[in-house]
Amino acid sequence: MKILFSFFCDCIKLSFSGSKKYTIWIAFLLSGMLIGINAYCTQYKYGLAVTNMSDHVSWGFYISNFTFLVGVAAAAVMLVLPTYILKDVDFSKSVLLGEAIAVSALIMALCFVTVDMGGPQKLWHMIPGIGYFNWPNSMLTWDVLVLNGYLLLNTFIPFYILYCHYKGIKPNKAKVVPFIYLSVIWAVAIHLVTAFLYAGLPARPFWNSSLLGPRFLASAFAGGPALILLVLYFFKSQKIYSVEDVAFNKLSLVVTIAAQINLIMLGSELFKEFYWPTHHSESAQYMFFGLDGHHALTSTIWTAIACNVLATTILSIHPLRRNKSFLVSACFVLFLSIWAEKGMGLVVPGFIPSPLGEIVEYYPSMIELSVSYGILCLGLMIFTVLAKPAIEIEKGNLTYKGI
Amino acid sequence: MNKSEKKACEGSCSSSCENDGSFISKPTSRKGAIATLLGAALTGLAGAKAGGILAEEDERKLSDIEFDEYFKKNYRIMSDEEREATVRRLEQKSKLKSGLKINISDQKASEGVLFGYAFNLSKCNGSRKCIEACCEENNQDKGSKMQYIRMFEIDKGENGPASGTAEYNHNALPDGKYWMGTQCFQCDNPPCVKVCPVGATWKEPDGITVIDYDWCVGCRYCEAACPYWARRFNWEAPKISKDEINPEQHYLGNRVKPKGVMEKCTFCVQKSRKGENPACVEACPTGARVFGNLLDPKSEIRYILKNKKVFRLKEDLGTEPKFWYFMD
Amino acid sequence: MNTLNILCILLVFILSSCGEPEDKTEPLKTLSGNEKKQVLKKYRANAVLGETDLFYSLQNHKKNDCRLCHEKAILSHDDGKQSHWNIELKHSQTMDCQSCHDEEKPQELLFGKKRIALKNSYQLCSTCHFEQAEDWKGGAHGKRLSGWKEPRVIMNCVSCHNPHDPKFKHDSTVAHPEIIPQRLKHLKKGNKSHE
Repeated sequence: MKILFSFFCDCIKLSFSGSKKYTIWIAFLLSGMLIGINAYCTQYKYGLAVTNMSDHVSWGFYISNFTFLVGVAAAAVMLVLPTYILKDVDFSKSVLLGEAIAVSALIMALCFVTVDMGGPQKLWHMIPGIGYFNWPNSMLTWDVLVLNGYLLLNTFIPFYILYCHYKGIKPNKAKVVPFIYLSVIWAVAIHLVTAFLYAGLPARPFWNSSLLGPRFLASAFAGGPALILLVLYFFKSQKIYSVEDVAFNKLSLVVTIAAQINLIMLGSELFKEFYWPTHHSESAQYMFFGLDGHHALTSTIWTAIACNVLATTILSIHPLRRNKSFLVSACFVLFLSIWAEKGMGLVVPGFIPSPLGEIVEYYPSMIELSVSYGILCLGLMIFTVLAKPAIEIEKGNLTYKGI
Repeated sequence: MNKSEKKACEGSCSSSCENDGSFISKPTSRKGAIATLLGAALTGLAGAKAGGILAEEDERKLSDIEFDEYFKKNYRIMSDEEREATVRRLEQKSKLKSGLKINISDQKASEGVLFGYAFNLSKCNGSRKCIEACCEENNQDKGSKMQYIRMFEIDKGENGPASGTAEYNHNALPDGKYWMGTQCFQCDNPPCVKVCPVGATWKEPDGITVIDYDWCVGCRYCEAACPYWARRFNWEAPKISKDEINPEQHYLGNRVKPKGVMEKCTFCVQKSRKGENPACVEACPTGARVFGNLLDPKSEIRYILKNKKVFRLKEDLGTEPKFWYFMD
Repeated sequence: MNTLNILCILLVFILSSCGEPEDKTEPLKTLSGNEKKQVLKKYRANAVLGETDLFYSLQNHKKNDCRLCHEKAILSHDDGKQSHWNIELKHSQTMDCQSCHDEEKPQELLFGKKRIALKNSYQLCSTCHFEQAEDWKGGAHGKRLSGWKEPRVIMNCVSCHNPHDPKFKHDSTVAHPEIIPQRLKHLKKGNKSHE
């Protein structure tokens, strides 16, 4: 107990102290969070009318980001699987950071869902036993279970490992490995369940496809590890934490293959929608080419796809992939393009046209952007607060100094 | 919102944050949140008191009501006594807050009744009197002019409603058009009921899909799931003046909703359970709308289903809507 | 193991809070004979076709209600004008006044040898318009005045159709409730509008 308490104290002390650059970073994040909180207060007072969502497009920027971030969180499995199950030593230095990213992304996703609710003060209605939990009918209940379970897993496993390292002992494999196996399966589950949220709705033909789940997984395993790679590269270049080149190479290979599969799936969807367009293809028609004079999303989606193709091509060419600057830029571009395609490019066209054929467009309002920015800063803050002690423990700098 | 955000929020904007007496960021047990709730309720009432509106005793009564209302169960699983209690509380709340006396019914479905609806495409002339009557009856938000019924004007020869428009404005009936009204079709296999995470919407034994407005958390999953664009969300607190409010209400029907919850057509449950026709049916000047009990073989709706060529929208989705279109 | 216990408890909670609610209904309230009479009185309805329990009412459509003039026989006017000098018959090119009316007994309608009371005018209309009449009796044509429960009180033919000029004119004003939600007007552009 004393050790545990000292562990938390030391970690918190470490998280909130550091170099000047670090302090500025924390201050910047805190100010961002305050902007978000202020905007959310306005939204809570006046209702969701301050967003640009409507009865026609009833999910927008918040849920787009939620969907994308669940994918990022699931991608941690791409590090966990090789390290613990395939016993690939090369990833062992980066896996804890990957899990920190997963936890931050997951908390951001949960925040995005909460700010999207009309009545967040009533969320206790979902608690089984004291509320009414419509499981197994509602996919949202499945999502609540898997997301919270994944959060628990991804908090417990790294915590246990770091705590053991902090104490200077080796983690007991028997205590951890079953949960690791579970977390690998769970990671796939969280994103499949999130995809099933959309795919199960017969009212929305744009989403109601069997390919949506696999597509989610492919884009998650491309975008998530790309982000992890970027973060690791940043840490290496800033001399915060060094990971071997071989880990970068293997991670970039994961990103490449996942990105290629993602493009194949995109091609498959484009064929289905446009080879013989039906009434069900109208949403895709709207997104790519505009519908009845409405074309707010066309430039976004074409840019995203072009960037995606470009990035995947670069990554597929071995010499380019091994070149650090090409790798980093390709990963950056790939990450953003997947964010656009899976976020706004998935949620909004599902609502256009409406089930009765009407077209109402959507773009996020200032309040939505401010709240989202606040949540972004929150996620970065969580990652920072988790990563700093983790890095120090892994480097061996932070150990229990008690008797 | 996590703990730190909530703390900051209460510090910087407690006076402007909406307080219907119930902001809780973490799920806790009912009893465990007493202190937080009372604090929030008192803050909310401080605002009302600042306006000099409420007397001391009324304030206490109101805060008691809001306390009980926040912690109540899902209406779907309440006992009869609990239902009566919540209905009385809501009536009292209206009396205390605005002085308006309303009657909220908790009348249950009748045995042997399954409501069905038919729409005569040959008779509708697009007058929109149905929409007018619906809005007078059902106490929707007048600010955004929320309407449950959507009336489409379609060229003859085209297949509606997607080929038509709901935003037509005429002073006389044009030739060559026909009109098609949509609203909640009270599906017998409703997708909205399946997806609700908290079970706030369900199908009653008389076939009407209803919503417990106080239980709804506002996730809008049902709005995404409805293939007929039947559900509406209160994006802000409904604006409706005392004179506009219809005081004859039903808990599951036309009572005034809080912000952040779903609502929709309920076949005027406050009227139909008393044996009356819904407002749209009564208002239709041409008799294009027919309503009745599907289980009564002598009813008008059964005559139509037996003798007329009927169709429903999106049959292939398996939703089994209880709203049929027919022509002469 | 502790975690396993927690998971078990969670599962019990989940399963206990699921499940369909009980079916709560009340017996259908049917009207007593007296209550039925009250409804009929309210709509000034008369019973017709007692075997099918069909009721109807004469509504005060001033232009169509024959009884406004014809409570009893009026054989001549004091001012010397011929009766109905201003009625233009636009009801099928093959009909004239005698198709429906007997000038000796204007308070009744005449179909061949059969005399029909004015309140039963539907019997005359249905001799030609038998399809619409069947629909009207069944419920697919015309408007119901009472609620969906018994007794059924419906409008009759002349409530809506002027027997001398039955075609509806397209000059009724169409209501335009403001259908564009105010809040999002800047985002809304209607699809094809047929002005």
